[in-house]
Amino acid sequence: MDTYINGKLDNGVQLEKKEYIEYITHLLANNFDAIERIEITLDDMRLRYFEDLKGFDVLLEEIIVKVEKSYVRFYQNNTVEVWDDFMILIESVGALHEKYNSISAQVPKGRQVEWASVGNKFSNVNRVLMQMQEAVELKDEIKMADAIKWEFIPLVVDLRNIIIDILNEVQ
Amino acid sequence: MRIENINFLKKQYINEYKKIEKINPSNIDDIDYFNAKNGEMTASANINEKKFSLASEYDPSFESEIILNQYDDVDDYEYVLFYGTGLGHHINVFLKKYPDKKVFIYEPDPVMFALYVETHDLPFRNTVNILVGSDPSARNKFISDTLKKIQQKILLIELPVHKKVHAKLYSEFREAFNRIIVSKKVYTEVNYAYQKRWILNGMENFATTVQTQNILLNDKYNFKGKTAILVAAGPSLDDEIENLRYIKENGLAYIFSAGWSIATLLKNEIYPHAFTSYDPTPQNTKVFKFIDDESVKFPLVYGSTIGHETLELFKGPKLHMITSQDTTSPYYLKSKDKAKMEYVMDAPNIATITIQLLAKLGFKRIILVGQNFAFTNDKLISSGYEGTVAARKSETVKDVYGGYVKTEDKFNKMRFSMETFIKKSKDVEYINTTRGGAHIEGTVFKHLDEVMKDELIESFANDKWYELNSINYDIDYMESQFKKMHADFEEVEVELKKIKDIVKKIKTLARDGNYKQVEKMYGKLSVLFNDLKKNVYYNRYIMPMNRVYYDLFLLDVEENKNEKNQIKKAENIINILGKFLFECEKDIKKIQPTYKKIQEQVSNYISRNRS
Repeated sequence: MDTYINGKLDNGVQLEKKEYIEYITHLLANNFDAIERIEITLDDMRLRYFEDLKGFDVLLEEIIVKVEKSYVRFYQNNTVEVWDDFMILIESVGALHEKYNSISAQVPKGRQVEWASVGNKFSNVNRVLMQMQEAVELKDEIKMADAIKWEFIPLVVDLRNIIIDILNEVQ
Repeated sequence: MRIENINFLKKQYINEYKKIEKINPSNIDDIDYFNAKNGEMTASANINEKKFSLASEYDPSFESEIILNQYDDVDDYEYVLFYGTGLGHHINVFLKKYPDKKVFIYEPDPVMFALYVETHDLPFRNTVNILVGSDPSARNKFISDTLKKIQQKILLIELPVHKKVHAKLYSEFREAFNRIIVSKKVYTEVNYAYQKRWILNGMENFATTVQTQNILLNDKYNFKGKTAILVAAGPSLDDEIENLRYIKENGLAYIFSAGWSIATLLKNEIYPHAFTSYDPTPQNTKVFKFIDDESVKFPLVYGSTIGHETLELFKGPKLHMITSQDTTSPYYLKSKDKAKMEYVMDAPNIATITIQLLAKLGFKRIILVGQNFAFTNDKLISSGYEGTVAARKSETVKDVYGGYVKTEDKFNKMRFSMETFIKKSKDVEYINTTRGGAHIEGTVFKHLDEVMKDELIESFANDKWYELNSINYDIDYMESQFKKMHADFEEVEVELKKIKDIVKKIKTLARDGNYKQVEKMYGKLSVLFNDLKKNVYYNRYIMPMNRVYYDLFLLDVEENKNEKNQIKKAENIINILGKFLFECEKDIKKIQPTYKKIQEQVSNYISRNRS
């Protein structure tokens, strides 16, 4: 069984393995007489992976909803709001990267191959971002709308389909 | 270029064809056109060695659908004006969805239009008019003609990328379009409302007009190079009462009070050098009720089409200015010394009429007071006004301080009109002193106290400036015009009857299916109509009283020329002409007593001045 140790304090602060062991040791040493019973729960890494994939899927779904409206505004050249939309898009892509990196660091043994298919698809995100970057430099709304509608959205939809397949399998 | 497009343009829009015939889009360095990913043609412009998209590189038709989705009230329109063609995808997508809409196309950039002609079929069946190029006068004429032709609202569809690539051309177009729409709307609304009153007032007022001075025909008033203050009835007038009193008491400028501002001035016992009025409606009597016999210490300068009821109410000295809507005075009156007759153009408000008057009188500086064209402290009118002003839909415009102020459509129309006249009188310096008013293009904003300190330092205004007692019209000319008019008055009903007889014949011949004869009757009708147009009584009185019907009548006749179905064509002619003739006959009867009164007055006037 794959196990990992980490924990959350009452105030929500997340601790890594070493910090958490030190914290527990300290807690036990100082409250030993008062402790009546100790329960230890081992988290299954697969379960954790499953939860992360679900989070990833929710994030992808949110991004699709956000950018669906934004390419319309770019095509319509709604100049007041349109470049604000780009900032929302960049934030979304940033969140996507963070989530992808966080999951990649903790993929359970035996699931690396399927995760590699996500990685392959994900590598295209940077290419699309470059395309968008060029549109930003030129302030070319049509190019930006094209990149969102015909590159970015299909990419996110594909990623989501892969994630849904994996989720079904893991479940 | 596509051969069908070339044939279509050569046949119907040869001038537009000439603008693009030498343009070959493949030879233009800065434009690339190529297949989009879905196979349609697309294009990009090279800007700083980078490609800038002119249409989607993936699916231009899909892009067009998104652009067109913004217009959700298309069903309310019969006509559409496309500003910017691009490669024409959006025009094609639009007409696939709405195949019966009639379209006007304006493309300021000939290269862009050449690309359109190269890559897509033009809408042969739907096109009403096309203009290519950025010449401002051709553009303005195109907009005016378009609006005149359709006589109804038009949907403006703008290509977003065009607005971006040609930002300056777009803003110039939009400004011209808005201005023309506003003036056209004003023209039609005003014409419809006043078409009959203008003519009747001109006739009813003629006896007074002929016996009073034409202010624009006398150069002895000594206004040249002087300063005038135009007082309007905006709420800021209340702030300047003491300044105006000081200016008047010390003769530092000529004060012309326009319309309702007289109520505020008289309430504060300030008597201007002149009061101007021109409103053709009977409601104008309200303002005259403020002027009792005691307070008549100044002359009225009236527009010759002013409501005749009001003219009778004013007991003080009167001078007139002939307005562009008057058809009586310009016909009968000519200057005794052959001086050019000057007129004031009709405008949406008396202040704009007065601005024209002051510029024509030779004032070198015109100072505007109380000309807000906006809500100031939630008020629209100065304290003298006793009517009610309902709260209306407001919008925001630039104010005199460089910020923004709330106003409404009606005031914008008035301001546009005033700005047009200000632009025309380049030798005049315009100072707007209205605190909190809308910015008026062509004026400089300065507080009245400062203007008084810097400019109004010399006393020159003469309270009795108008006492010249010289009437300067040519009696012989009046007499000969009078004879001509009377002969045509006797003839007009005969000519109308001839037209009615032809209409009756068309009805019978069409019923019997004799379309060859019907065609002949159309020719006769045209001859008779031309004769009628030459009749002075008709073209001075009857036709102008029905100018809106007449414009519609001409449009209907034009449209009916293309009717292929002979029965329908004949029916249309009968209906169109029937309605117009009915209105004309009604008015002939209506104005006969007024005409006879003029006839008598002119006759008396001539004999009095001969002896």
